[in-house]
Amino acid sequence: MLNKSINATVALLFFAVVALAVVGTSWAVVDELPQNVDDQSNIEAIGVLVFTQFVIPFEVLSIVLLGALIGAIYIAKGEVEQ
Amino acid sequence: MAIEDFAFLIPLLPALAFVVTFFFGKKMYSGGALIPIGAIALSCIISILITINLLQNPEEVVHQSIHWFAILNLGILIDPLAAVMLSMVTFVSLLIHIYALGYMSHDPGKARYFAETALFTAAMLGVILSDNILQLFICWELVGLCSYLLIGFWYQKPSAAAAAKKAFLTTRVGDVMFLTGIIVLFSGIFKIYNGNLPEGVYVLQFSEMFNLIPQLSAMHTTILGFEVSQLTIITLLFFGGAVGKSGQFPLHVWLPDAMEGPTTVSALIHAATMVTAGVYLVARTFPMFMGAPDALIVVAYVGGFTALFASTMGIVMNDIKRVLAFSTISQLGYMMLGLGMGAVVGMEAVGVSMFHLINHAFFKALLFLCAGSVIHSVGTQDMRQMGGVGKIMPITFITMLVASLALAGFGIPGTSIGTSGFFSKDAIIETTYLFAEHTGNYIPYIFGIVAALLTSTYIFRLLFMTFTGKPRTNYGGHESPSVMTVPLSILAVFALIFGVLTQTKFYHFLEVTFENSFVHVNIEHLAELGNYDLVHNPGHEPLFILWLPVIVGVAGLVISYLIYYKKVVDMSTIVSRNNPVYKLLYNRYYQHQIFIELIALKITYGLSLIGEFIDRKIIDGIIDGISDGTIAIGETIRKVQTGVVQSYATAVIAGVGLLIILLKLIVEVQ
Amino acid sequence: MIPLTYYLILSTIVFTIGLYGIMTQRNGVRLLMSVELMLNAANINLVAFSSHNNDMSGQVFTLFSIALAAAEAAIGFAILLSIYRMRDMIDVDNINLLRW
Repeated sequence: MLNKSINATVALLFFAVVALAVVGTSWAVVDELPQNVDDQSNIEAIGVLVFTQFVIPFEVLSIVLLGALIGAIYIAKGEVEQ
Repeated sequence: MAIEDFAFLIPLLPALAFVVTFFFGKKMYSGGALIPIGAIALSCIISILITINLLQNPEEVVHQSIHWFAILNLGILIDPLAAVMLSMVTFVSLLIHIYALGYMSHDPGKARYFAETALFTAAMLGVILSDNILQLFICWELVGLCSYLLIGFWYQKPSAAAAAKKAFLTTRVGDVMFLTGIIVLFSGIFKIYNGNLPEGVYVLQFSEMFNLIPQLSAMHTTILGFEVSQLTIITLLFFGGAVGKSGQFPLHVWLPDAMEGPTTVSALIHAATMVTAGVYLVARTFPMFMGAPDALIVVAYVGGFTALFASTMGIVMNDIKRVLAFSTISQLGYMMLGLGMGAVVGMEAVGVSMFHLINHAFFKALLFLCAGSVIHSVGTQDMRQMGGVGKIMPITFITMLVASLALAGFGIPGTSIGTSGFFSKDAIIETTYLFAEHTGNYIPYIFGIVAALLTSTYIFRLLFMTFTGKPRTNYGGHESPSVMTVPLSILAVFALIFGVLTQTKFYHFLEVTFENSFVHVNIEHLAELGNYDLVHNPGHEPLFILWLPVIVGVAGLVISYLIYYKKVVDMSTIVSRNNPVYKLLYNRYYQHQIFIELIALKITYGLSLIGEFIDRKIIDGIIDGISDGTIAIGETIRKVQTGVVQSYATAVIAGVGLLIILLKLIVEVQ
Repeated sequence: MIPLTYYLILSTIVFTIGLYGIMTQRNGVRLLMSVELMLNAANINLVAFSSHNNDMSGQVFTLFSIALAAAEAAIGFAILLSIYRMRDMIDVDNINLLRW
């Protein structure tokens, strides 16, 4: 029980520090967003970006995922049955 | 197509060799060693061709860059600074790989060894070629990983595993500082652009960073009431990274332990290439150091102190590789000292320091390979068990002698006769004299000259103890095979004549590193920002100053000759006479023995006697009470070290939280 | 429009919950869930800043980081599975084979 209360205190300390930092900072952001009222979706824009500007990271990521997949199967498979 | 178009192959070929050797090496001839050797040979040819092109036309640097994402790019930059490093690293790496064919021929883990050294070479080339600081940092970390893997190559040995862990954790301290430096730099740039980073400009590219130096220099932060320039903070954090990687005081402790790895690894990574990455980092960001008040002075003092401090340790070590390890630390200190002298000589400091770096790579790799040859043949690393090796290994002896002369810096001032170390080390000492004359501060010069005396003493001590006299134990042994002696001979030729051939040309080549088609900075202007008073057209130093480094070098040789060859003074009497200087050194390096003999045996034993006496007099109950209490306290404290990662995580989070509050209280950003 | 601060506070809350989970939970699966929570707090931040700076790349990054989280979770669960097969439990306190 003592342990849990220590943990909770630490978590609250962390929350307090970060939340104070967030509230205390003046964030320079674009106030008026050019929004299209008819179409609020941004999927199209993301799709275009993924296949133009970010195509190299995207392809690399596919290889990483493939590697992780093979690794996961290999680890989880266990002993090979004869 | 021009050769420059193949520049990207320089790091890529060793990286591919790593993949192939790692997965298929075991089934190939000699652990697949020929693949990395071939790949590095090709890289070496490309690098040297590019360097030759660059020599004709130092303005036309090779710069290629592709977009990665957002404001980051992947890029290759080969300017004069990178070109000389590239050629040196690929060349030395190639020779050491060939040598390793012989040295590692009996090791069952050959495939792993060659795969890891190939990966290391690729990462190191990545550090050198990077055109932005973030890419440099990524390769920097990769280099650290390879170093860890190779120090712990014989992971069955507990000492090797411990040494690997120590090296990794110590350099991590430096790496965190480096990363913090990058973060502070980025937040500074972010502030300069007022949050709107321009499109299509890679702000972490060196050219952009250098353009922003005046603005960064104008920003200030208040720490505990002292107003410090933002640029000074950034550069000192970068220097912190360099201190970790290059084994400068106080993060030097990992380098001697790193000698647990195979000798070829010590030669390649912990003498010739990786440890110079820190020096390279400072040289690469030199314009920022130029623009930062006080930064170069810190660099000079840390470097000078390290040079002296490490060379005192070198004198008392008995393990042949550890002497060389302390020598490496000391020489790296010289390079840092040389860079710090940019405070008076400006860009020439980069030339002087890098020249010593290149020469050091040749003769230190040679020293290690010779030591490896001896160890391979004799089967021990303890110099007290050697003696007379020169008779059975003549080639090794001659090459080692050449390397030692180069390290001690033998030559004749005023002429072009001298070993490579003579031209580079003496140049550094001369710039420190210039610094002393100009600012009236003689401390760096004294550090340099005393370290030179000690350097010469310890290296000839090593030479006399190992190669001359009569064998002190019955070790047998034979000359190494030619696959090992040929690389030795090639390196010996370079250690002997490289300085004569290239000295003046080298300085002029490197002086234009930051004035070309990629980056253009005005060092004079930056020096004003940094409050450094540069000396123009320095007069000639007095003849005595020119000769002094050589004189102390010869003095070191004579001291070693008298003590270790002629045995004029018996070492054992010096120790038993309680010579205070020797005692001091002795204590520093055999700390744990002192702990065991003095504290554990004498003091604790004495205390136990008193304890026993009291024990008989005092009632058992009190004793029992104390012991119960001690056990209870021990039990409670023991719970802190549970090994449960979660409790550690809790402690880390609490620590970070408190640290942020503390920082908020003492640091005020303007 | 919702102010940026709200998003950041939300992400801080999610992160703190994940943190608390990491500190207190002993079950391997729950630990992994907590790690995912912390990662997703970072993702919320990315999307929030991306939307408020009108810069799409942050949202693309989020996609990438979610994909990487998937890879990480797959490996994590695979390791837990093989531990379970060996030891018949996934309590992290008892998995101390690699402790020195």
